Amino acid sequence: MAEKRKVCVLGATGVGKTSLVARFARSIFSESYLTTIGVTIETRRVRCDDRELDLILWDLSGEDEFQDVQISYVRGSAGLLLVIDGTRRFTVETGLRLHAAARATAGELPSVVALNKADLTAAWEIDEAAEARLRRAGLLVTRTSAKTGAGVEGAFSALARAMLGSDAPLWRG
Amino acid sequence: MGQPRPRRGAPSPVRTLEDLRPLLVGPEQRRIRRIEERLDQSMAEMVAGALPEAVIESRKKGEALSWALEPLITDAIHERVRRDPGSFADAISPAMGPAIRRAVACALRAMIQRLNEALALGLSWESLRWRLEARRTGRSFAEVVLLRSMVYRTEQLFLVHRGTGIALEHVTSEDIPYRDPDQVSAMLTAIDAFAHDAFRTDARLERFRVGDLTGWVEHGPSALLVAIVRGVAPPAYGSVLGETLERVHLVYGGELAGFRGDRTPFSGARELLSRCLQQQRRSAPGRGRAALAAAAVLAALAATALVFWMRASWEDERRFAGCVEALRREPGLLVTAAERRDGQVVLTGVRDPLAADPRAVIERGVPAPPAVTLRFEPFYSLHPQIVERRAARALEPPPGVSLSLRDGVLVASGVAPERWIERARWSAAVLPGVSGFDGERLQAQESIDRARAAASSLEGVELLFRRGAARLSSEQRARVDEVAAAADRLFALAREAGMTAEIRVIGYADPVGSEASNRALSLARAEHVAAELGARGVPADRLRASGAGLRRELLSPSCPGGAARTGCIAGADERRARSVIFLVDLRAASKE
Ligand SMILES: Nc1nc2c(ncn2[C@@H]2O[C@H](COP(=O)(O)OP(=O)(O)O)[C@@H](O)[C@H]2O)c(=O)[nH]1
Ligand SMILES: [Mg+2]
Repeated sequence: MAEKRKVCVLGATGVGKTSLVARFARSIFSESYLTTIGVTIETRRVRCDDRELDLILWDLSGEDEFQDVQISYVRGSAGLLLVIDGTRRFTVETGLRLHAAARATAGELPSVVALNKADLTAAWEIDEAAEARLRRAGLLVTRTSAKTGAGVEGAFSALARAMLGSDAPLWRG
Repeated sequence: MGQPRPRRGAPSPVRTLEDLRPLLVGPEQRRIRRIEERLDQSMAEMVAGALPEAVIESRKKGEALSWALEPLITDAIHERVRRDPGSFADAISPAMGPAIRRAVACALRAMIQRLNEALALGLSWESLRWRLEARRTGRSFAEVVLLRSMVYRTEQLFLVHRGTGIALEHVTSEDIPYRDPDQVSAMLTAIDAFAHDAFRTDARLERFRVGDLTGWVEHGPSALLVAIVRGVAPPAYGSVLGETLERVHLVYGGELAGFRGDRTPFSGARELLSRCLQQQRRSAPGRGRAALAAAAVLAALAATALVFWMRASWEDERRFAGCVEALRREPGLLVTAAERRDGQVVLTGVRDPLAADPRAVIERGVPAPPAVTLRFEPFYSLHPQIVERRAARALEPPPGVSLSLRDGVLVASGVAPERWIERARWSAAVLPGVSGFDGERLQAQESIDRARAAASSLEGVELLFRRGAARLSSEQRARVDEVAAAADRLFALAREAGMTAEIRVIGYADPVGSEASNRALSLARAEHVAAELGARGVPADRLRASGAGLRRELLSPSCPGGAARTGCIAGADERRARSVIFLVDLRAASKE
């Protein structure tokens, strides 16, 4: 029987969380749940060194001037995908802030950063210094494009591998 | 002071006493000193040794000890509850459930009694029949009335891990189409968490209603049990759920607390849950049925062949019976003989490779399992649960697909690649215990992709307007034909993929003019395009026109507000500001 892991996808509004998850999996729920209760859920099986893992992806609606992220949804996660828009520098700040809030709620978790919209090289705003900052925060940094699909499988399998490597945390109430 | 004074003239008696003391009581003095030393050194140890006996003795004499200890213990419990109410509640919750149920049952009996008296006055054809049934079954009349006038059926059960929202087990009644259980259970926990956070109460989601369906949610310390019930179930159904969830916590308490994503330890929970699944079976004879009936006859024969040659104590006997019973209940295991050889108990039988390990079954099902030797030969079981496992093992359904067995036919539902569907159709029918394959509720992933592609090609279209105009120029109007054809294609492909599509027609205006007039103009443009599409046969109920005012994505962020924005949009984008675009809502069509 494949094991299951809950994964939360976090990031500022418009960074491409929903597009990334849609690239990777398919939901039975309408996207309107995102605006009503702030989350929608998708599933996908991944294979990782002869082991199978069912990822249950919680796509949390992003933070912006209209809404806050419901950070309590992070409870019980075994891993985090932090999405940052490579063409908007400030989304690094938002990402790091959400990461800190998630850790305060759910403890230390394997986390992977997706620097998304990698296809838009002309408008790229993330320099070496910003990437180094993310690495210093203990994050594994990958580049993705939900538009072309480049790096999407890689980001999720890096996270799956990290989750299998570390013992999934026991749920903290 | 109390000492007698020495008499004058006599030899000093004090001195004589001092001299005599070691001679007279020397050994006792030494013993007293030793006892004193021991008391100093090991008081605690000695008391600990004597305390249990002392308590027993004291209890025989009366209640003095209880009186003395009662305030201390009460304080200790108060303090403990104050400091850590959670663990205290967890500790007593298995005991609280039965106590509360007993109280509720008493109250219900009293109510039924009163109802009985009231009903006894009425008379009708129906009530005559119910009265006969009550007489026959020994139930009270009111109970029969309640039972017969409620019709319900449990369609799905989810056992959900509280922390992660992951479905540990999902059980359905026959012929129920359902969606990915993990997505459903995660969404239910999300809604629960959302309501909890939004209203800041300690209450939890307990009941929800969707048309004729009611969701019953039972909360335990580490898991939730969710039942989806069609119709109206009696309140007593809640206690069936509650009891089941308590048993799940009793049996799997440790596994639930240590759950990290591996569901194998919970494979036996299905059995516990099936108690809550009220099914109304239709008796339609079929090929699969015949095979199952044959298996049942075989099992019955095997059970009658079960022989005990044992002269052990009754208690022993009972534990062995417990073992055999636990094995008998387990799907895919069949015990054919139980005998005692040279003081050893040997259980012989057959086991499907996909059945649970018999030793684990015994350890799980019998409190103090006796030593037994197990001899199990492999065989193919036709038990529906095993056939389902066999099918899942052979076909490896992708995560969006659920398999279930109905009357020997393997029913698959969900989304899968075309290649998988084709392979499953061929391989399912050759599996032992499967007589056919029903893929009616399967959707091909590729057909969904095609519908998505059609949606995005429609979303790539922009119809442009002249400044101030609410109607299309003739050159742009020609492009509406192209849009109508794309919409037709979209609807057809969506239908093929089991989805519905709705097109949002969104109008925009450029920054010239007041905000109110731009909003009105943008809406007029959208409505004009929607009407043009309607005239070309696109169903109106699939179109939603709206006016969005300015097209903000084209404005550069440094732009000032108001009329000064006019010059803000440059070049080609300047025309695109006066436009109508299309957004497609694609969603899975409901199966209901
Ligand atoms: N060029 C490009 N656009 C993207 C990419 N990912 C998302 N987008 C676009 O960014 C916008 C916001 O995406 P969405 O997934 O809704 O973001 P969310 O709010 O984080 O869920 C949409 O218009 C997407 O089409 C990408 O990798 N490349
Ligand atoms: Mg989103």
